[in-house]
Amino acid sequence: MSTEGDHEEESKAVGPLTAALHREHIKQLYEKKESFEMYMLEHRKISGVYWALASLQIMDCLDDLPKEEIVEWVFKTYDKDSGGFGANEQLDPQLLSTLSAVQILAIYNELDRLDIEKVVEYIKSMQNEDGSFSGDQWGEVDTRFSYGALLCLKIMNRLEDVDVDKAIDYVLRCRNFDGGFGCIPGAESHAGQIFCCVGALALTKSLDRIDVDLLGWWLSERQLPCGGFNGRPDKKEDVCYSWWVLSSMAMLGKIDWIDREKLTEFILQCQSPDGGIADRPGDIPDVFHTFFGLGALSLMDFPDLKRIDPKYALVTEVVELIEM
Amino acid sequence: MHGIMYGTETSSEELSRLSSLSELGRRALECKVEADLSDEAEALVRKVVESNPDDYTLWNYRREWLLSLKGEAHDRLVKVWNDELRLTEKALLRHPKAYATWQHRVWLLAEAKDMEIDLATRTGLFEKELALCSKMLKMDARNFHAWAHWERVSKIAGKHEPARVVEYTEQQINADFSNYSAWHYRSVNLAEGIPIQDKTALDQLLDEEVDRLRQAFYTDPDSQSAWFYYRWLLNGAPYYSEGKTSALFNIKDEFLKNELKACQELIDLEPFSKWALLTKVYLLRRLGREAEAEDTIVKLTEIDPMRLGYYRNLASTSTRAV
Ligand SMILES: [Zn+2]
Repeated sequence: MSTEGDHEEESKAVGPLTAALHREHIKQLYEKKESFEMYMLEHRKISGVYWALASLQIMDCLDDLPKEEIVEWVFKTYDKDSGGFGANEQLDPQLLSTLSAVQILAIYNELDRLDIEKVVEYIKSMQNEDGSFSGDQWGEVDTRFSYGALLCLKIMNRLEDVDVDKAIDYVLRCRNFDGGFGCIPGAESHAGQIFCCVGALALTKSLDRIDVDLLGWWLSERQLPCGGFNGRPDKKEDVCYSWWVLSSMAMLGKIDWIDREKLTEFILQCQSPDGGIADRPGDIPDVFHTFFGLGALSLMDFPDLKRIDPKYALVTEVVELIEM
Repeated sequence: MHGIMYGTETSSEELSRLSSLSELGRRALECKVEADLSDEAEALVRKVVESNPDDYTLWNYRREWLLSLKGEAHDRLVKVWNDELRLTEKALLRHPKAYATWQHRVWLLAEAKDMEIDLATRTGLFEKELALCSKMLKMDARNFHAWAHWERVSKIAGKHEPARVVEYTEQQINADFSNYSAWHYRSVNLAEGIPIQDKTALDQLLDEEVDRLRQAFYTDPDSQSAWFYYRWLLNGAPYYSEGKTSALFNIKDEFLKNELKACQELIDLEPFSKWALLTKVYLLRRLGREAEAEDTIVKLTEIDPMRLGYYRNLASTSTRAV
């Protein structure tokens, strides 16, 4: 944040970033046998691991968790037959779990351990005739999967293996007249879906196909007087939208259309005294909101945090290796 | 955790409930690994997914079980399908945002044809989906899963009923002007959903829409939803049809002038209404009154400093230069 205007007596009491506590929260979650949060993550553990590692990496302390143990665990969720990863051991393969697995391996610079041909084959098999992607073999379609598929391929440097033009055509069919995007054609704009669609467009260098000013405006209107963002008009604030809205704005080059200072204050207020970041001040923290809070702070150049790349949701040094 | 405050999670009863549920889930997974499609296995899986509807693997497992019933008597299948709907409904009432559960219902409807469930029954199943959407939206009028579910099942059933959506959104909007979801789905369906015989009917429709918006603005000028819809309307109410964009209304300058006047009346009453001022900028620019628009933008930067960057950009994109 800026150093100008040192009127501390006027500003609200906003504590510093309690990074040490957040590290401890993540460590506890990983090591402790039983907790509320652990049960909540049972069916999306691999994403939980990705949020945890990405958070630690932003705080430059990736070594807090045992790398080899985690990489070995990731492969326990791998389904050799399909080439996809599941959300936990014994769980069925899914596209978004596969993305988390690939992101984790990218964070650890261990992509070589992947059977890339097989994973590419899995993702290819998820693309539908109209360009959309299914989330698994059972056929749920959603723009979240378009982003998941394209990002996964991009990380493995294999984008050309799917029909990118058709994929983008489908994403554009999900655009609304408010400039935003929904989960399927005709569905309401939602900041989470916008992040996915803008991400898909950014990864394929197709942002010139949308009205970035219109969408940037809609996104800037997500900021509420408390400084936090909602995900849709006339809804409440929530830390996860700090990431989805701000990263979308970063991809569109509109990050200065909102009040960064107030957003920073809001995120810091959502820190739990026990570590971790919650959706709102006073709620229970979790690793999901911890990552999204830290990710948004990183996009705003918060001191001592590594910079994150909005379209990859990975720190820039990892992205540099991928793009090399 | 979304909306979970301190205190609720720490109770030891809650932890032991979760722990035994997790143990049950593990046992159900073992049945899956052994490809056990017996009634006992089915009952166990049912118990787990009802309380833990995020357990997507077990829903998948149920689908394998359901598919294994192919070829059985029609009555049996209809009963099983209806039981499955009750199960998912129970789960959704407790966990209205469980993706895997909503998806299970989409799958049930999609698969009914392949299972040779007859058309009349399938139509009944489709109506049950809409009834569920309506029930879920009564609990939370903004549940985007429920709104999108309507779209998804309509597509599967081949029932494109824009008039029904328009009518439903009207009820929703009249009950709460800040229901952006309803305004959105209204905008998507309006052109096809209202029978328009002639130009007079079209003019009348535009008047009605504007009247409703005016009520919304006066009820709560800070609620964004109606203002976004208004912007869409002022653009002629564009909609997608057969791969291209068309406009429902032909918006004339005369109309815009009237709207500007109405907007100014609201500003006279509520001088700090950001949305009225922002709309005024838009209307002024449409009418080519750039200098006044610029003055209004200055005012906006004062009352809404959070978005200073946006207003600076807005000021720099003068229509006079275009
Ligand atoms: Zn959240």
